[in-house]
Amino acid sequence: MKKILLAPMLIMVLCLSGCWDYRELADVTVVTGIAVDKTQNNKYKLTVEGINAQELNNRTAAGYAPSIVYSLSGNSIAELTQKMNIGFSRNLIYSHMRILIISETAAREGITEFIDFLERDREIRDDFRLIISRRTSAAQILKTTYPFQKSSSLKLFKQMDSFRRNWGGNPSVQLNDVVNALTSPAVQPVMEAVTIQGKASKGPSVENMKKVTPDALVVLDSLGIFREGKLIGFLPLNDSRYYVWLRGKLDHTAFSIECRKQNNNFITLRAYNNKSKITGHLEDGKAAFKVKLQLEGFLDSNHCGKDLNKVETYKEYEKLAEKYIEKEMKLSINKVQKKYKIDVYGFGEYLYRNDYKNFKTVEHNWDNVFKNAKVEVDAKVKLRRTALRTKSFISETKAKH
Amino acid sequence: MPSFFKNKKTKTQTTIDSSSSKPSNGKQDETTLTFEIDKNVQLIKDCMGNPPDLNVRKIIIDASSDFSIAMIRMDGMSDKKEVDFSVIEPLSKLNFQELREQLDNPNSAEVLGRLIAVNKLEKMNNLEKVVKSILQGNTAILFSHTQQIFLASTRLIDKRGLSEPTSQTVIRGPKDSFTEDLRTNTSLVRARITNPKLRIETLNAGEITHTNIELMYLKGIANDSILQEVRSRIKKIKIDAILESSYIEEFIQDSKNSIFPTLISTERPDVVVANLLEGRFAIFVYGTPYVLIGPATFIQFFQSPEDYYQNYYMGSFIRILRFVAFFIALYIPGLYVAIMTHHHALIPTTLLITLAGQREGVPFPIVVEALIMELVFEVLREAGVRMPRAVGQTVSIVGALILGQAAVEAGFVSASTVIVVSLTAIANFTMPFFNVAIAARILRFFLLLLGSFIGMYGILLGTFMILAHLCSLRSFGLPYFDPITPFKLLEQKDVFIRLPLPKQRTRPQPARPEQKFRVKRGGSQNET
Repeated sequence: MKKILLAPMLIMVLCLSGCWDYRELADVTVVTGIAVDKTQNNKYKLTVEGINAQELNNRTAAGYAPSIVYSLSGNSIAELTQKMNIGFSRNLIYSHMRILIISETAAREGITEFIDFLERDREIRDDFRLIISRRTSAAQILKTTYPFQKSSSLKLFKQMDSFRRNWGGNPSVQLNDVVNALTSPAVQPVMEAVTIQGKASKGPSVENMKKVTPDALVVLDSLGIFREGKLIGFLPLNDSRYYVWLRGKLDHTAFSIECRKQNNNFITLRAYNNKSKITGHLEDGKAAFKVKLQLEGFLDSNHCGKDLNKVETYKEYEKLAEKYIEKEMKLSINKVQKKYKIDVYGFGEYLYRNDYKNFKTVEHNWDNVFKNAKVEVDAKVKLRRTALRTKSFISETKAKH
Repeated sequence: MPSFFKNKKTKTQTTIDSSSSKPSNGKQDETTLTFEIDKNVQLIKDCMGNPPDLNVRKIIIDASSDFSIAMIRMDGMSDKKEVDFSVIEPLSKLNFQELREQLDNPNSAEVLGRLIAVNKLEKMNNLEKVVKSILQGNTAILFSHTQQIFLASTRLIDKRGLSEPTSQTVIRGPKDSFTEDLRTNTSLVRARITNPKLRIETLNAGEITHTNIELMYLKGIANDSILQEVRSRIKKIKIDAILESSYIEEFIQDSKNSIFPTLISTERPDVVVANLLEGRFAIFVYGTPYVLIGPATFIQFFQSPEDYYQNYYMGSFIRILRFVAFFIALYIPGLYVAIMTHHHALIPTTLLITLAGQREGVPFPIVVEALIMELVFEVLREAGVRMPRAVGQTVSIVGALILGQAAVEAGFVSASTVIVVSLTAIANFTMPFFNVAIAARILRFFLLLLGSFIGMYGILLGTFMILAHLCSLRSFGLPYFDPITPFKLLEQKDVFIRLPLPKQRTRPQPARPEQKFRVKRGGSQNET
């Protein structure tokens, strides 16, 4: 008897409780990116890019706009995400959100409030990139079209990934990185900044995709630096690269190094296997650090014209590169120390892990200690090979003269 | 009319009939043989309703003393030539006086046997037995003035020759398969195991059909207690007819309501041989090329004989592939629907965009679409099996082109659903044993519905239900999921991968063979 009752009961359980989160794929619009601006009366303006899936598929594309961007203002981002159907016809799903753009003005006022929503929400994942829009509104970035990925968010996501892999100029900040930095006493968060090159007003059109040189193009600009959740300034991309290196995330990069006693002649070093190690100590409230950098690389251009058949040349170039990198890195760190007076690199994290007791005493004003900290940089360069050629044709042309 | 025919009217009465035949011996009048040859012939004829294929031949040897011989046989079931040359010819040449004397002899069967050159000559005086023997194809020889009837074994039935297996094919390996004839089938196995330890026992089932069933095993390797259980289970079968080995399977399997097969059925003699050597038994049934093998484990349904005929890298690879295919056949439609309707977040972004683009403007919910396509495919497949050969091409063109391509182009279904359904269908065909593919076919719908109702949670729920069921199943009292649960490390040599044969020195233990080692330890010179 029990068994006979069990079967209909189980079926009922399925039918009554099931389907609550049932959503047809044809009834949803995939959101690939959102942008946050602040309006005049201190309200949030949320801009959402919902993609037109048919247009993104080359076989079904008909030449319409690949995505629809719509903005709405209100008191909280969380509410606005659910209110978007004022303009959109379908349910929006945020799980595939690739980027979040925060306008410069909104970031200067503080990001902590709506980061809470991003971290809390069930649907939003933590693998999207956080970006600041510099000198333009965040919504404008989302609206600027591009022919390859078509959706501006997907383009930006891919662009940042490629740039990080090839040159390492951006750290590809994810939600967790920001939250961890915000909660840690020993490091401050950063975010990449992008801007629009060209006429921003011509960006939001299909026409923009049809030009060899787009009228408006979203380009990576710099690295935004935060103090206590508020944007305080930007570091140029070159410094951004040293930041990435110090954080241990540098994949590949390339350096142009001026030859000795030859102005405007450079060798190019393509680097891989980049490593960084921070050591240091804290004494009487004064910190001193030693940064060990290590890289392997190959020579990709040789304007200096030194003979590459000789070991000495390699040694000389290695020395040259080491000096160059040490100098640049030191400059970069000093700039942050002097200008922004905060620790974005995580020197404090090293102390936090290795000298916890001492660090405790300076924890509350770590950034003050850091700004006066002595940082030494020691680079070790290994030149492994010289790409396809050992002897350059340049040396022969010179010989003829 | 004799009571025989009245009883044959309904099935329920026939069961009573055979059991009540012994007490009915008391009735002298209608069912006992007489001393008059004509009456006896008439009795036998009446018994069977005087069918047109009953061949009665009467030879009057001596008219004066009214001595004659009658021969009764079923036409088409007995060898006419043998009756002519081995029975009629020697008898007609004989002096009738001599013959008469010999009939009075108590051991007349042996004496007569010297004259009649057939395999076997038996003497009977029970009408029922005689009729049964005639129905098996033997020839009854009746003489005047005696109750004794001699039965010469002259059985010969037209049978199909050996042909290639139709449902369990291999690229490398034996190409013969069982036929409908029981003796041919057993001989195919015996030819492969020339060892006196190969034993065959005859059993019977089917109240009306009296179908011959033979139990085959290797003595000393097969587990005795399991054999005992099989015998008793077959004896307990209560059914009027056995037309296929599946009739027996349904009666003797442990769990009668399971969707998974707990006995292997094969048409390949090499599969039977391999299983006999692992300590299993085989049940041969007259009239079907499918032989039952037990006790079975779930893993066995994924083991094709080809795994052992190709080298073991290939064997292992193909076997893993088969498990993957089974997973696909069982899960992909359910997972597809679950993910597409409940868990958009699980799909990679670019794939999601492609899928979303395809689903633009498709009128049906994805569950309905998947269900319809699955059903359409099942209909196509059933039509493919059932239809006359001549219209085969028409059906495949209509099925593949019109239903597949046109439906997508017209926008009724999305291309991804067609891909999923066809992938599932193809994956389902990789199973070496058809009956486990059937289980996947049915459970697929179950998982599809669960997935559409409660998404991934439903799929997991279904998985646990299936796994719990599989682990609870038993085949002749032995665990069905052996050796995965209970897990035995040493038995994994022939589960997901196949180790080289020289490394497989022990017999697999799931069937609990009496001999653990395939050959005696210390070398193979000891031949047993």
